[in-house]
Amino acid sequence: MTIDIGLDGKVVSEKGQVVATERTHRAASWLGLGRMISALLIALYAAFLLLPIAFLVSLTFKTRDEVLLGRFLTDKPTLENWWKAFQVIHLTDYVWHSVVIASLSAVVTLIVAAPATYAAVRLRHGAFLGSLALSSYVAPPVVALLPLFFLMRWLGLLNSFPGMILLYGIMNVPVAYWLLLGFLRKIPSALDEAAWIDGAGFFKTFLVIDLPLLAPGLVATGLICLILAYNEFLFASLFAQDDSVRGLTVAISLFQGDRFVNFGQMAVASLVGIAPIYVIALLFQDRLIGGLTAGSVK
Amino acid sequence: MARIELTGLNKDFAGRQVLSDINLSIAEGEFLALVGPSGCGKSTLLRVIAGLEPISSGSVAFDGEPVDTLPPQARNIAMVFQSYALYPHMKVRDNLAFGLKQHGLPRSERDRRIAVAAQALELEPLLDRYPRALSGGQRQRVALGRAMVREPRAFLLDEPLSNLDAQLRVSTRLEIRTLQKRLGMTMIYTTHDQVEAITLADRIAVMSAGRIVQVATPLDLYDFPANRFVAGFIGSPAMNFIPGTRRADAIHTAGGAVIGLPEGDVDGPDDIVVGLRPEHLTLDIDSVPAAHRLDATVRHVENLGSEAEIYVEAGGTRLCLRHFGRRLPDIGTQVRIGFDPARLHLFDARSNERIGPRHDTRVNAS
Repeated sequence: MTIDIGLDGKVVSEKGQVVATERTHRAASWLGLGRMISALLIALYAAFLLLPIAFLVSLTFKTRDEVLLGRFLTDKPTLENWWKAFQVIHLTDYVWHSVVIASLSAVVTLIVAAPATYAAVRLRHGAFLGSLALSSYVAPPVVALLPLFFLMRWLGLLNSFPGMILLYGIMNVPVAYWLLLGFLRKIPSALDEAAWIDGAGFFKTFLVIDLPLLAPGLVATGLICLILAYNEFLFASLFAQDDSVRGLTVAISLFQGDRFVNFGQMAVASLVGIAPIYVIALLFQDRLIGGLTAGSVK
Repeated sequence: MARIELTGLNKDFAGRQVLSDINLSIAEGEFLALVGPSGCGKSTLLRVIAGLEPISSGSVAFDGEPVDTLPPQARNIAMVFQSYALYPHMKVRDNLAFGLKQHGLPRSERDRRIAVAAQALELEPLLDRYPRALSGGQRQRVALGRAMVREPRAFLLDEPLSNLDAQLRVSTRLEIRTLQKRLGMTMIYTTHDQVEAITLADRIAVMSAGRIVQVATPLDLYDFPANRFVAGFIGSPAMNFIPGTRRADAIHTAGGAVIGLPEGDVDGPDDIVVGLRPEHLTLDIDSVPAAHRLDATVRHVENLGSEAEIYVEAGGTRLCLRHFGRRLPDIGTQVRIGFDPARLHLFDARSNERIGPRHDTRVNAS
């Protein structure tokens, strides 16, 4: 069969049929269309996610009356909310409290969960404890409220940093355990076995071999636990009422007056509260990328 | 270096018997190969010796001392993993030093041993690299080096060459054997490659379905396979099997061929499977008496350059023979193939066990 390649780039057979390029063109146009559709869907999804934040931003520039009109944009933007929010309550203090409690509790969580995961996965001990701990998540947290209150009062941990750090730190262990399980299983167990045969004890193997390789998983898990603790409201509203330990979530609720809610200032407090989490996530995003085990096996 | 004894070893895994009644004694300085098809339990046996897998019953002893209850850390053995298992976040030097540090060796001694191993395995230019920057062959050598520097009681190697290309495999094979001999290492080596086992080992233990089927020297295994499984597993291409019935001094195959037996053969069952290795069949039949010939039709010829594998059909059975001549028969032609009756293997068709001598009596007598 002889074929001609026309000036238009089409491949034409001796019978004048377009052989290859038509199909390729069609495939390419389908591909282009597919890309456009997926881009559109992603844009819609992103808009869906960002809309509340955008609305929050616009709220901060509105007067109280304008907020009630429910419009997205304002005619007369004002910065009043921004300086009032910091005047009415000690906003920076509360954000700082939240950051300290959340980050230290994430550390506590990792200190407990990482060796627990190692024991369950590598030493095949106590894996049922993980399921048992997670099953406590089936019940709504409010169930634990009263017992925890009495327990913490008895321990003298109410309205204290150690109390809140310990509470969140232990509360998030099951979540961390289940997240770390996936990360640890990706590290070949032959590495541990090689270290044991080299004479390293189980704990040393965990510290020297697994922990460094688990770093991306620890960062990711730590971040998630940090966010969970940072955003927690129920326990904080009861156990951390005092001004000296009060966190952001409880602080935001302070803008609610007897007769009206200061939506504009509340929006400012919320935005200020989101900021540290974003900064922390940005700082650690490089560490979240895996691939540390490359070259270990095969 | 240690003597290793396995006695009545059993291992169940979730109700499945993975190792059954393993009895094996490995002498000090011996190179033992564990061979068998995938899933036969050879890697599990190695892991049991290393202490990585608990056993269900039986015992593992080093130099007469039971070690079954000891964790891998306390057994002082070295192991080369099939996947190499190099520590990815440590440089080659630190990979080699890791085990030495755990045993509390001073820095000067660590450096000395690493230098010796690095020289033997040509790792010197790689010492400051990370495993991810190494080729497969280099990683394999680091894994070997990590075992070598340790001076352990025994070396366990789990298919260490399976990830290497053919050329590198042959040269590394030679290196391992030389090192083992020079240092008098007790070495247990698993492989599914029988050529590797035959070329390396002092003795070979053939495993099948969690059992040790036969333990013998490579030559004994080749000459006196204990049953059909070993006979078919050792040797390449695999041994030909021809089922038949014994009548007087000959075996009559289902396809009508008659195979003459060597004189003075032992008694045995009537239903027999005759085993003939491809290299013991020949197309050059002038010197072969009529009772040791078979009529056959050529079905397929594979020319390998130095030799050819000729597949023929004789008496309803497909046979393979290795032919070293340059002139090859055409497909479809009738040929006569001859065999050496002294090279015949006979197996009981029911039990698949070998009939006749179990080892070379002539060698043992002298």
